[in-house]
Amino acid sequence: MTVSPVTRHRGVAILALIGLFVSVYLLLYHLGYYGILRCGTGSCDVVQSSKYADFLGIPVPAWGAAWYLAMLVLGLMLAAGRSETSGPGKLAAVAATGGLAFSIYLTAVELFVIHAICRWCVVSASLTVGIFLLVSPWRLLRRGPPESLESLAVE
Amino acid sequence: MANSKKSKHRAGKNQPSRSAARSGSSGGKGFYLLLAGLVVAGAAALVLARDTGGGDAPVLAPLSVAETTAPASADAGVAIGPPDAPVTIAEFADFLCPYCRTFNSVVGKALRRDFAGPDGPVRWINYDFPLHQTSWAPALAARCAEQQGRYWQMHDLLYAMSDDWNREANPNGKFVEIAETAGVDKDAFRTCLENRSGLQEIGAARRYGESLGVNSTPSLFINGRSIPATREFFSYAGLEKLIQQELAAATTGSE
Repeated sequence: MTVSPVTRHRGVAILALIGLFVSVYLLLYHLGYYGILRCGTGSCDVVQSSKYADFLGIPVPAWGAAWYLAMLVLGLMLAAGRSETSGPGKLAAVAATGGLAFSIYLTAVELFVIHAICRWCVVSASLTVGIFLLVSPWRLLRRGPPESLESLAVE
Repeated sequence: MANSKKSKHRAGKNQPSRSAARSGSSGGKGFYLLLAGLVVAGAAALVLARDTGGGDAPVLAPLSVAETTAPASADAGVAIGPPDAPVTIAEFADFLCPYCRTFNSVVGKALRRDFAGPDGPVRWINYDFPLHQTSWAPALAARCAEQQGRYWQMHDLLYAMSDDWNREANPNGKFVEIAETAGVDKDAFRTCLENRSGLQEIGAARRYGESLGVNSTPSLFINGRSIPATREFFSYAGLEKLIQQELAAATTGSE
């Protein structure tokens, strides 16, 4: 089953919007807006209060919110018809790959360093994987010859 | 040039052209409606997830130990019982930890009453070990009560009444009420919550626990030795037995 690029990029926008709300929720908790995290099962507070809750001096949820916002904008641009080989398309591919790598790092820290899993982090990691699969950066790598060469093709 | 344009069009044949995106306008409308619905639902969830409360009490944002600078200190605990008691029990606890609450109400309180009185054989030292960012607020409230000599009353009430405050966005409003119940002067207590001077002591206590290898709560030490966190020891009978053993060893040692 092939999924059209428009559908894939609409999916990116929807997942990014959900992720944006999750990140904003965690960021507001970090800033003291909420008393206690609604975590259900899991150890959200342990993860959120660890030293890994900040990255380069900025709270991880703030990075997440910025990333999801960027993916939302890029997803909407691509869903509106921008080519995957255009600037936004390439940027989306790079950002999706970077986001997945960062998500793998954070999950590894939870599992092997902090030994605590936060349900919201699992949700965010799943959304990141979903966005990566929908953006499908590998499609850029297996494209045909560049346009400059293709323009020489004889009709 | 024309050829180039044509080729460009071909090169993009697998791409969603603008007309293709427009052609799915009925799906597009549904998509944007779905996005708008998500925005409304998400914003509502963010607002509703917030508990209210706290009134005009000063707010303490969630903290981590990194935000304090005081080094680890064995003097950062709050003690009850004679300074020269032969047995010292150190407890590392977190007011938001459910097991600490159970331990305190079932075991700790009774042991302190029976063994850590003015002439008792035990000196019980409580060290804050805030595991969560939101655990600093109740720890600070207890320290503020300590400034008025009402630490243990506040300590026990904070545990007993934790259902009243542990889901509040700003529990300090409840802490003021609890402090009043504990016999603390309300205005001085509020001032203490505002100036937050107790946070450094809490940070020093937590770092002291870390230096001893504490990584969970409650953690207990008897005369400097860690007590295994099992039911056998974390019970009134189990700890009483350990206290008796320490007393016997102290008596034998002094003979």
